[in-house]
Amino acid sequence: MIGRTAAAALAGVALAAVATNPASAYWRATGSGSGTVTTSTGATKVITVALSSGTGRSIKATGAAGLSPTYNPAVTVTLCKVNSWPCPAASVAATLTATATAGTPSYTASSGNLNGVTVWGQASQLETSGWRDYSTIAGPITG
Amino acid sequence: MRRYVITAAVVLLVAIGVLSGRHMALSLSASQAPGHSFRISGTAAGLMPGKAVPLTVTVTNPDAQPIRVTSTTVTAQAAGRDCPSSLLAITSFTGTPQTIVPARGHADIHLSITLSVQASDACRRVSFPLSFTGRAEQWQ
Repeated sequence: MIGRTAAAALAGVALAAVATNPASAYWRATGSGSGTVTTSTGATKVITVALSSGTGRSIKATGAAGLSPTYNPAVTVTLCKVNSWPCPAASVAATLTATATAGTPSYTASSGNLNGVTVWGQASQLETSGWRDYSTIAGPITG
Repeated sequence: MRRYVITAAVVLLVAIGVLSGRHMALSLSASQAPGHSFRISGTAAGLMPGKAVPLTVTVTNPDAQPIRVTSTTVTAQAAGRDCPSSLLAITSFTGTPQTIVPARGHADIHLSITLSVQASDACRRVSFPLSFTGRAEQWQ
């Protein structure tokens, strides 16, 4: 009787010790290190813009732009009343859109009537890589 | 009378077993044993706006026992004045799926990193420094 009781007690001790050990992890460690992430260069910028007077006091934007597959053919030209870029929203005189095609100029876009309004212009085009290209600033010109 | 003594002794032994087992398990698992550390490294290239790029993080275990990585954190620093680290989005690793690094071996954790579409031209062909931290536990 005593022997069986003692054996049961020892088994209880062993089971309790094992059961209260939550996992097989005994120690913890920390790690550290360093690395870098490098951005791509993208394609060579080809977008340009030139501003001229259009019909009916409009302003015409023309220029060179890249073609598919390296570039998205959509070209956006921002006409800004101040020579500050990116153009403050309150100073945007017009936003023109055009589609680049083969030939010279690659795109042409015209504003509405900008009679007496002086603007500077910048064209932009998205590369298929994700980078957006911006032209140098053209202007000023008055509609 | 003798039976009560034996019963009390059994209860006492079980209680000691429970308490010592718990104490041992908790104190050892909660401690950060000195001298146990591991290395983390990782690089990625070809990052461009709006596109996720794989970031393979390599965990190297110099210890004689395997470890299970429970978390890793990647922190990026700015790549110049016009390219703040906030332009980067990096996925996190919380120990799932389970990553076991063999003794004196290494294992890879696969994260991804994305550059914001707001990144300006100034962020072309630049390098963002990365810092890694991580936690692991002994694994058997």
